[in-house]
Amino acid sequence: MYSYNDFDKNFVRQRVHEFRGQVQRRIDGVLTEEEFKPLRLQNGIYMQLHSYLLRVAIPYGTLNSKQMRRLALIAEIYDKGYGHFTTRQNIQYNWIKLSDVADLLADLAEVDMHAIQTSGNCIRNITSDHFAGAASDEIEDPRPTAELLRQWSTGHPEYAFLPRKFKIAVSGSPHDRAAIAFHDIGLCTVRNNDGEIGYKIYIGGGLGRTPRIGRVLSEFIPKIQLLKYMDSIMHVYNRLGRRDNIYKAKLKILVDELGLKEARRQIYEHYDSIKNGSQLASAEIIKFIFDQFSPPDFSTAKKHDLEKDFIHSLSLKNWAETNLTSHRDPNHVIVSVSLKKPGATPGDASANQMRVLADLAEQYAYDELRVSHEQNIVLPHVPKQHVTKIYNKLNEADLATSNIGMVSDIISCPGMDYCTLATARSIPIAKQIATRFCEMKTERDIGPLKIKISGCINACGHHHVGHIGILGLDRGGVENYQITLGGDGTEDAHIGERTGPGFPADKLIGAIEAIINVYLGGRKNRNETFLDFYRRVGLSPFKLAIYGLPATAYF
Amino acid sequence: MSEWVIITNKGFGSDDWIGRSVIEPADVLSGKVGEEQLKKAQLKLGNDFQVETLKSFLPYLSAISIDFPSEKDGRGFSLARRLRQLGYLGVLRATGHVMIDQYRHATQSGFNQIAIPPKLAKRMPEPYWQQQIGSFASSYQEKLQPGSTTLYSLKNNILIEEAKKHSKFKPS
Amino acid sequence: MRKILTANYLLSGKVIYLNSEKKWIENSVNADVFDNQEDADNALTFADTQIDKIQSAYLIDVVLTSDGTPEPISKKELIRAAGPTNYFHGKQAEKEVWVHVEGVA
Repeated sequence: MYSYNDFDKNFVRQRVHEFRGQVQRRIDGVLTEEEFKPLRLQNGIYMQLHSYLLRVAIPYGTLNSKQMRRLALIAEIYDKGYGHFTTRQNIQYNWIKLSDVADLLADLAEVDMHAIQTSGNCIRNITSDHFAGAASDEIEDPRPTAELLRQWSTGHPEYAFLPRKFKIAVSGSPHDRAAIAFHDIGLCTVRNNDGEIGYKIYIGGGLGRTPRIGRVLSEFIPKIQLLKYMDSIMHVYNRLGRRDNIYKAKLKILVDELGLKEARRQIYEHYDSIKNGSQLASAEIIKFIFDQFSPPDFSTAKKHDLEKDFIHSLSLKNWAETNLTSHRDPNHVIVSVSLKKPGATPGDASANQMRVLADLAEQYAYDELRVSHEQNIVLPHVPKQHVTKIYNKLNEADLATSNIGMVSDIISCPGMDYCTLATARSIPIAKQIATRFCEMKTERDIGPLKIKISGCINACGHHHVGHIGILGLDRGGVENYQITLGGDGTEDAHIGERTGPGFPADKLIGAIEAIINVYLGGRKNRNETFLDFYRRVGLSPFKLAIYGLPATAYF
Repeated sequence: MSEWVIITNKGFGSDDWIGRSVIEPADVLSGKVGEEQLKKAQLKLGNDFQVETLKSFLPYLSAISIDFPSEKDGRGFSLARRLRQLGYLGVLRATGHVMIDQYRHATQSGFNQIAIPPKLAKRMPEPYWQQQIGSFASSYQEKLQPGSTTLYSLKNNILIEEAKKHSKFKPS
Repeated sequence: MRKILTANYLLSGKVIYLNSEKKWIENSVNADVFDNQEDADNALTFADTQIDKIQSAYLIDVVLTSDGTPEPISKKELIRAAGPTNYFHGKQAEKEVWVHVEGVA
């Protein structure tokens, strides 16, 4: 993974110094709250329901044990002993004091971490595939590209006061695990006919109030041209994006309003005028960054038959079925650690759990961890010979929930328990659903099923791309939940379809059960997943099941 | 503009554009303003102006100001950078609601000066600006692509020569 | 109409309410209740003088409980006054629970 050099270290330290000055200027009245707000947002600080929230950047979801331990320490010193891993591969702390932030940032800077541009109308954390560098279907590890974009976007003077927040994601594989089609700019690593590696670029995707699937800007852009294309897109967006209405300010709306053809024309026109200009990111710099991501030496791992381990432990086997993914090296596996214990708050980890994960990564897994946008942790490179030991340690730390991709592996925003924007709570719903299906012991039978919950229309829980999506709204002062079906955040991008009127909290679980029963009763066989089934039968059978009975039963 | 404060890398200063006649884009594009007049004028631009239309006049302009209506509106930074890319070598001024913390963005986008109204200057006195001016701001963008965000680059000189070839004015 | 004025402390971020002595307090049940527009506006004007101490202030709608204390009408402000419902954190854990939110852990 990328190692900070003096330039990077100096940059984050400067930023801490700058931030101390900004807080002082706010206190002195030199800055109004209105002026201070965009500045504190660019350091990841929100005012939330109970307190300030701080969002720490985990670039493309990658960190090492030293950094994970520091996140644990910060949870203990500055917060209430836990952190929340987010749907953009970051971590956030819910109970921060503004007066502590500068010191907290200094503590982060010591381990090459920061909170730069994790909120505000600027370019946010560049996200990527949590299996990057390990997946067997990869064309190229997407993280060096994400690092190049991180450097290009960090502190960019032209793009710090955009019409709205801007999100970029990179995938290195035709199987999109980074939801690139739902970002302002999505990059997919591809090979052209000459075997050269470059990028297919999608623009104007997004979730939120008006979900959109990204549209293809270009089928192939060579690596060396990437930053100039990115500059062109950003420049056009900054100049033309709407600033009169925050709900119409994103790139997706600009692409809608100009039309893709005109948007492309403007971007290309700008690109043509700058392509021969000041130096492109030189081949040397690109190589330097890419070299930082050379894979570890996998040859040290011994050949190991996991089946033998499974014979000794049924629970290990059970966990392995959902939480292990095959690795491109035959002697390794990818281990996913679920932060979705049924009944717990999705995506939360205690300081102690963070330390356990750090230790495991350092001792057994080449000192590398990932955060997935589905709010789980990944050890991307695990020698098969260490799997049992890792499982046992995870178990001791209450981190061995075996539900990756299953119905109780719910993605949920913090919702109205924490968020000022929320219209309903999402965490109690997640807990209720996860607990119910765990109790019924039907998870394995149900198979892969992604439930995603958002506590308001801003869709931070990514409900639009849930196989079952739940959107919490306010109906006459009472929390009310709408259901969408058939969303898909992969390369087969789909926005979920709304079933109809929403349900109050106490009726929602019945509706979810009814939906899943339709699937269980109607699927061809166990190999037909929920999503496959939905695509085959459509919305109607589900609507009938949840609304077909007399209204009083559900409302 | 006499009560407005002009900020440069030397700190607060007086307005060195007093005496320059104020012209608008329509004046320039109409071709009615001569070469000598353009040089002595100050061109005021709104932050939504299509600066590309000024390309052939840039070698003759020496003072352009771009409006900053609000601290959240960053269009001026894009326009400044674009003007530099198009070859403008004169003085660029960011005028309006520019915060101390945008000093870096302004200078790295190509502005030489910032002009703020008296009320803002009262609330943001000079010592605070001096802190910003004095602090060294390293730039990832310059590290990756040298010349892409500085005021002047070699490329600008080439553009100036090209623009003069297609100029509306006969060389004097 | 019945309203109370709320804000957050600038430095700590703590949720606060204005009482009848124009002091900022943490317990919403002791907040000063405004039953007319003029008093509510005056409270906002007062808040403008406090910007070095507080983050932005705003008015919220309340009802009076049986013991005459104000209680926010919106669920969100209720949670804000008491604490989140997934952990026993926030105001509810600091002193006695002053306002009740169903489902508090």
